[in-house]
Amino acid sequence: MRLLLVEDDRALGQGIRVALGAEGYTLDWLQDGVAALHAVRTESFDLLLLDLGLPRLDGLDLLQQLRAEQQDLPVLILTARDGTAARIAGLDAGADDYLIKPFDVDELKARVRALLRRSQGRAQPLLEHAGISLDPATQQVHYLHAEVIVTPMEYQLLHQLMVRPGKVVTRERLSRALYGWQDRVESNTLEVLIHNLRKKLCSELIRTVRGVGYVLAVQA
Amino acid sequence: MISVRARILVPVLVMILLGDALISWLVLRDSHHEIEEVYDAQLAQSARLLQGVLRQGDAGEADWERLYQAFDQAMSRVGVDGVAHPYETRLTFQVWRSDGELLVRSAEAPVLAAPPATLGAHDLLDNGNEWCAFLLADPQQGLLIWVGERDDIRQDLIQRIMRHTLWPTLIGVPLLTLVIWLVIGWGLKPLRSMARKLRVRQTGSLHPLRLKPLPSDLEPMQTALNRLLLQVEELLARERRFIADAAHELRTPLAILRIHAQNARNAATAEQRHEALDFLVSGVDRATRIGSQLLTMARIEPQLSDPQRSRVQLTELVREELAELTPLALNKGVDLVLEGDEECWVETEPVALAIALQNLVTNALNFSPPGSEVKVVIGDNRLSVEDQGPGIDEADMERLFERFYSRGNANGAGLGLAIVEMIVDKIGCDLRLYNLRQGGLCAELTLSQARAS
Repeated sequence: MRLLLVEDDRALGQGIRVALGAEGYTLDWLQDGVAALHAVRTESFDLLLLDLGLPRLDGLDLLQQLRAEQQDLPVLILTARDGTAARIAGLDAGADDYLIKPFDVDELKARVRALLRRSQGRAQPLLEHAGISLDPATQQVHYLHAEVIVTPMEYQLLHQLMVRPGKVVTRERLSRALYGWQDRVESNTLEVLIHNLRKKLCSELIRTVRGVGYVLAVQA
Repeated sequence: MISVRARILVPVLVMILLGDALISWLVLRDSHHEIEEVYDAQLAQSARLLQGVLRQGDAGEADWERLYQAFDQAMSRVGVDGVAHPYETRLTFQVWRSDGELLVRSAEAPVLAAPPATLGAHDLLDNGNEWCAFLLADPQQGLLIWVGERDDIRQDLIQRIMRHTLWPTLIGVPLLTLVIWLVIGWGLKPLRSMARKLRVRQTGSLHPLRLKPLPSDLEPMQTALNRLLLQVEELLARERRFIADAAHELRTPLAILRIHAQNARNAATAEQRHEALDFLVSGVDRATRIGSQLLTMARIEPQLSDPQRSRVQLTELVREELAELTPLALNKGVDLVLEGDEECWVETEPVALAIALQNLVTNALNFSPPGSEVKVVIGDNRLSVEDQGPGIDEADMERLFERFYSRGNANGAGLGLAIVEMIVDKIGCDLRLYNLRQGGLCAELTLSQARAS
């Protein structure tokens, strides 16, 4: 899952990055509104964590602009503006959730999970498909009721495929979701991860669409 | 302090009493005189009546006796008869022949050795009694007719008349006092109702007074009061806004503390925990700085409401401040340099200016890379602080002075420039921020030159 954090306070941004990074999310972090607008327009993110008091473009304006452009990624506002009116304004501008600083890190993680789940059209916290069960809260994977030990990277890759079963997920999307902008991506890393997953689960489940990407088979 | 009512009533009463006394005295004096004149005229008339009676026929001895009897009888009825007039007097008379022989004398008349020498109205003294009298000469009959009355009796009558004229004054003054008292009360009613409205207002209420109808002379008072209320309200609003701002913006530093504390607890490795704890410590430092800057603001705000400007040797003041900031500069590995005129006198509030300078230099030091230089330049009534840091974005310019905006600087409280702006505003100097062509930021204060002394 690839998240975009827009927060102009360095110390706070660093803290959020560490906290969400530990959950296995790929987190990209920008410090001003204009850059964030540009990033959302050109790249794909699964969730936007948005501070409101931003340089160059206020968070609320950014959000309104995104919604006007039919960008429907889930948005969680993280702000110090605690008044009821501010919360209402934030939600009405198109935010899906609103968290007031200072917040509990575990609550932030839970809200991120809930938003991601909802955006994938699910109410169930567990992702289940073809005998694979994936729990985003604990990042545990079960296959045919037996626990499968996966690395965080393998988990993220599987998660990406599980939210769109039967649909091809492109290599670009997968590597962005896994690495964001910060990490250098080795050209064969994705193949290594796929190989590992196939070994741990059933090899038939993840199919390669040559030159395009990967797809999680509807039926093994 | 005595009440307004008493302040008006006492002088008014004193003036009324004095005026009344003066008028009464004048009235009494004149009317006394006039009454005397009237009584004298009456004496003259009586003398003429007597003369008229005496001319009837040739008066012999017996006639004198009859005249005496009739007159005495008439006079004895004075004040007794049913149709008596309270101001009647007992007249006496005597008649002499021109050669001085006494022909007749009424019983109460004074015994005189000879007729009085003066004709007309006169006073005379007999046996300790004063008499008012009128002497009429009748050369045709060769008679001297004298009519008189006792002065003390006449004075008694006059006193009675006078008393009657004084009664209205004696009753009128207390009545007038009462009326004036009530009228003053009526006149002061708007003031009293204003006072009552103020008294029953809720203690915290700062709503402007809207008293209607209000007499025109209370209008300025209401206006002044409302202006004062408005000032108090603005002051309170500013305080409230400040507290709200502070409480609101402390949320970010608190969020930082909380997230790094939780990260430290959740850290998988010792290295991660160490990193989170480092962030936590610098977060605490930042919160501390915010606290101390808030205190600075609270401390200088009242001082700035009444700035005490004086003539200040700028170089001396700057040198002292820079000496205090040198440890911070050394800590950051930044050179702190002072350049400029030795003699620069300005007219300013020194304490506030020192705080402004301190904030500008601290800002410059915070944005300076190690090994660079922060230069403070004095000259031409200007005081500028130049750094070699990143400068400022055009887009950031307008937010710079916002309270708690720290350009994402993890160490800044975001209050420095807000404090400087507040000071600059109040002590009446000018602040300009601009990027230097060679890189870095220049904060320039323009001060007013001290008058040569």
